[in-house]
Amino acid sequence: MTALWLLAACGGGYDGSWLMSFIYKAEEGGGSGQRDDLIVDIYTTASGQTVANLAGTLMTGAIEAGAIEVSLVESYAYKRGNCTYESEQRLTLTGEFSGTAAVAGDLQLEYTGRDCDETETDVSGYSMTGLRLDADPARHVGSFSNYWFDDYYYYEDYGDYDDEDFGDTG
Amino acid sequence: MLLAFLLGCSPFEGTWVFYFDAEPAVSGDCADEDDDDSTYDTNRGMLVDIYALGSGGYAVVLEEVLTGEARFGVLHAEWLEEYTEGTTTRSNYLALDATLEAGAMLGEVSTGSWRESEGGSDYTCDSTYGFTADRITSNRDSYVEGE
Repeated sequence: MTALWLLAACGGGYDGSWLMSFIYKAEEGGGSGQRDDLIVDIYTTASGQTVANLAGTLMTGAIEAGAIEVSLVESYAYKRGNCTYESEQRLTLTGEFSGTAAVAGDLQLEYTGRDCDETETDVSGYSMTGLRLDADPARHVGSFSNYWFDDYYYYEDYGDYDDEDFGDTG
Repeated sequence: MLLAFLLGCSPFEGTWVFYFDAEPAVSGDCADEDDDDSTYDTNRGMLVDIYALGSGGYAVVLEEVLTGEARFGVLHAEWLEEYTEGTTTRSNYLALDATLEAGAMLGEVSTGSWRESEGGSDYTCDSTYGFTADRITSNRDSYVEGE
């Protein structure tokens, strides 16, 4: 009874550490099947939000009716002359829990970039399965590798434009 | 005061998710170094642990370990390093000032560096990031089954 009361009071029935396996999905012209296993911690905050700590990358959202959706979004805009470069990266983890000890879903990374009149989009993803660990998530706090997000693109690819890349700078 | 009582003697203690303002306020010699038309926005969070110390103060784990105390509801903690090479002294600091409001934490983190030579200060750079923080309420009793 105490455990049930705590679950209801804290809203954290899925909180804890999870061993999640991510398998890369096929994309056009690319390979698939690469597997990464990570310990992912799920927390509940005082404001009622769900936070997933994915190897140091924090994603925020909610768990409702046994389904999780958390995301991390970054947008960047850079104006130079008559041109504007804009980009948005969105990392989204979705899943359905089976009881309180197993979960299955997807991890998707979407990129949209607009450079003057050219637009580029890219979507890649992983299928995900997870099992809850009997471990204290606090032990994983502090691993700020940002493995998933920071290895992606845009600053490196777009940070060194010359004026001529942006046409007439006036 | 009532909130502090309900939360115990160390109301800042715990694990928090910090959400920093994307654009810092920059001053000093570096203020113009990044003077472009770029904008950046994110909901990226950062986990920060705050510990109450036996001395009555606090330790804040924010990349470095900041130490300080809360007075009149304001937590101030800082970290400072200095090193001297010849006649030049370089310093780096990190400071946090925060208050609690309706269970959330609000404040700012300042980071900076300066360099002094025989003729006095010859370089300073300071950046201040506002933040809001949401307390992690998960605890082991809330999810470990069979205990």
